[in-house]
Amino acid sequence: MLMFDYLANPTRFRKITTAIFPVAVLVSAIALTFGLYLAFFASPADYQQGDTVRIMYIHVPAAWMAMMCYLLMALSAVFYLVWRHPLADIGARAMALPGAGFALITLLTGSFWGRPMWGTWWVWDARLTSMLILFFLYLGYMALADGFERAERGSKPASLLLLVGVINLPIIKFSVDWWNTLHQGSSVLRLDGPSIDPAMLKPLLIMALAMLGWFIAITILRMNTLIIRRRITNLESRKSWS
Amino acid sequence: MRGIFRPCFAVMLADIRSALRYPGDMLSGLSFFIMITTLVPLGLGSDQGELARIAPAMIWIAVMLASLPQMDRLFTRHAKDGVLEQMLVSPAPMAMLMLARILAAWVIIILPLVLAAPILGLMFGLPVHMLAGVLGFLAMGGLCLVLIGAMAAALSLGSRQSGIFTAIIVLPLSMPVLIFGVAGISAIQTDHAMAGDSTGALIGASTGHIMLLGALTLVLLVLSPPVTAAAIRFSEE
Repeated sequence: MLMFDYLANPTRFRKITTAIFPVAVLVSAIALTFGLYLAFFASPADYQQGDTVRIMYIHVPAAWMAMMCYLLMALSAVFYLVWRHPLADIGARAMALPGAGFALITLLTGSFWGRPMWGTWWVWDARLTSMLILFFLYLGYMALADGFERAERGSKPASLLLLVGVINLPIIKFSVDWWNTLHQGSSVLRLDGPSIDPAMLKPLLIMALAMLGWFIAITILRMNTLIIRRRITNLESRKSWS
Repeated sequence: MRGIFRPCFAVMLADIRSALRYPGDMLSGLSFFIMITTLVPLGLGSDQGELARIAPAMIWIAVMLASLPQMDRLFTRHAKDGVLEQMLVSPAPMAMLMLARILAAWVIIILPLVLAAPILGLMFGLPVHMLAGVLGFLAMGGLCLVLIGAMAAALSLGSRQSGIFTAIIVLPLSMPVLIFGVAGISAIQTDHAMAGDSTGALIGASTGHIMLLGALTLVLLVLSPPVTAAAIRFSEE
């Protein structure tokens, strides 16, 4: 809470984030280069899936990011609704587009993988459908948040919508356990430790780090843009009154 | 206790009465529902077996689409004439008033569609023994739909294109309703076939689906009224 209060000052926020931004970009760039090299050249092909397993190094981290991003947005929504910090709202708005992008990447890469492996671009099973719903929730949030004449007017209803949509997250996570689906079960985040081979786990985690760094950088960029844009609209409305 | 329920009943009765005053609005929703379902055999061809197979899904989707425009208008009139504001300042809890309004909306919007559904089912060649199940699943799933619809309508109240926003919010959230609803109605057929065998299971697959749908309804009954009330409060600020 104390940290949040400290960051809530937009000027201070700007100062701190401009310091974090280059670090995030650098980490992301290095991890991406290294991770892509490992994923595409220096990791073994799967004994069943062959080289298509390499799609997983993009697909799985993107899916993690899409879910984490939604969770962060929902937490921001709580902060916004309870403590009325405008920065929390700006954070949720800034994360929406990258989150939707991650969800879309997950769906697309999954589809590319499904074609050679399952023999179909798409199956209507629980995991795929709940991920699609997550993508729709992102779209709904963005539409609602920007859907009012006054930009800030959309913040509260959109935050409320984020909270309602949180129900979907456990459904995505556990859909492979609850329903008998075509999608394989979890092999990394398991109670009994990861069942995936370390040679594949390493590029997977490095790619996740690359995406996390990119996400932090782009969120900082978008948040600062939104802060500036809000300031401009405020100045303009003041000018039109005088 | 009675002090809480009296204004709720009053809201419910007032809503139903004012809807009955304009029966044309209710009828237009009903005709929209029938027209959507009419389009399907025209586009798909009139193979009776095929139509009977897709009938549950088609009726469900038609109910979802036909109820959307009416749910979007759930609060617009009363936002304009100040009734919502009066509800907010009244001592009765807003969430309970919203629950009353949602139940009234079920009577006004969903009930006519539910009652028309068996007739459509017959036109699509559903066997008669499935019609009671169609009624039951639609009645309960329809309650889920208005609970979700009220939240969405309240959230998008006062936005630039509230109609399309309500749709964007309602449709993804109501996908589970569609899944369990359609699977449940379709399972009645297999249950019936199983009951013909002496080995038929005691609890049919459709019972499982109606239980899941019931659980969903209960969760939404708790979740939707406070969310709707909060969204209305935001719109009146």
